Amino acid sequence: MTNETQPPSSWLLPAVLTLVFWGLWGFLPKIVLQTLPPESVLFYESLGNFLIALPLFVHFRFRLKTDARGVGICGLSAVISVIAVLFLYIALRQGPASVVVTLTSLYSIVAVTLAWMFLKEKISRLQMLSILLSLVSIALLAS
Amino acid sequence: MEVLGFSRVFRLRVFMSIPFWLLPALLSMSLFGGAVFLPKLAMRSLPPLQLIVYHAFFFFLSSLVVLGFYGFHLEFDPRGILLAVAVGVFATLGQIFYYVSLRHGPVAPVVVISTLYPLVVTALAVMFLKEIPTPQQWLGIVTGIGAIILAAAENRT
Repeated sequence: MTNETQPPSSWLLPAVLTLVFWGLWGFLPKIVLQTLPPESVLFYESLGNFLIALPLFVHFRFRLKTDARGVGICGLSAVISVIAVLFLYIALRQGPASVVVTLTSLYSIVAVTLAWMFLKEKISRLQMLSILLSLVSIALLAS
Repeated sequence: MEVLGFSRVFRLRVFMSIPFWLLPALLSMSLFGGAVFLPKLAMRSLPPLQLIVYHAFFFFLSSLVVLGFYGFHLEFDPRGILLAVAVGVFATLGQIFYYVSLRHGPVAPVVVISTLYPLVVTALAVMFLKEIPTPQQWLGIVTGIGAIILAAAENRT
């Protein structure tokens, strides 16, 4: 990622599109899970991922960098993602979408903690406050 | 003995009052933390857009394993299938636009904007599913969004 910042017109639209697409990603499963079980939704979702990843693969002319460590970590991340999404769908089937999605999106505190533990990244005061707020939020959402 | 009995009943009531969805939601949150953390390491050796291709491939394989765990029983409902495929499309498109906006824009506002998606979900759930959170849950959503903004504002990756 380059550090050269360009005018908002070049990054604001993609940032807002990210917000909208991820919002739809969080919301639509609540409707889909009314007719399909979580494991089926997960499988069809993976096909949807492919619909976008395949043109990218073509764009790269079927040549990807093959760093074993990077690919291995990516694979592990995908496996964990699948289990996380499965649990998300199990929760979404029963719980309110707004509450469940907000709760699961607090994952950043886990990421910050892992970065502190394994990458020795420092936790700033803001991040500490964020972790505390997250814990308060979890307690309130679970009420 | 009476005190012990009361204590047991109290604990049982507390346990029974925990909503069923809470445990999978917390497990999902913890796992997402790991799933989001790992690409930070993978990005040291692979370009972000190539990671998306790899991720889609491994996600597909993993979802097959999960399906196998459920006996390869795949249910069919045309509307559901269409929407579920759309879920995957939106997730990946969101990821691509996230990288694009990070490439062209300042990190903090991009990360803050994109991680506010629970607000979109809440708005859609209130509008289309008529889900009205309790006052405590509203407060939880507000503090949760606050926590996300604070974490995102500090995020430099």
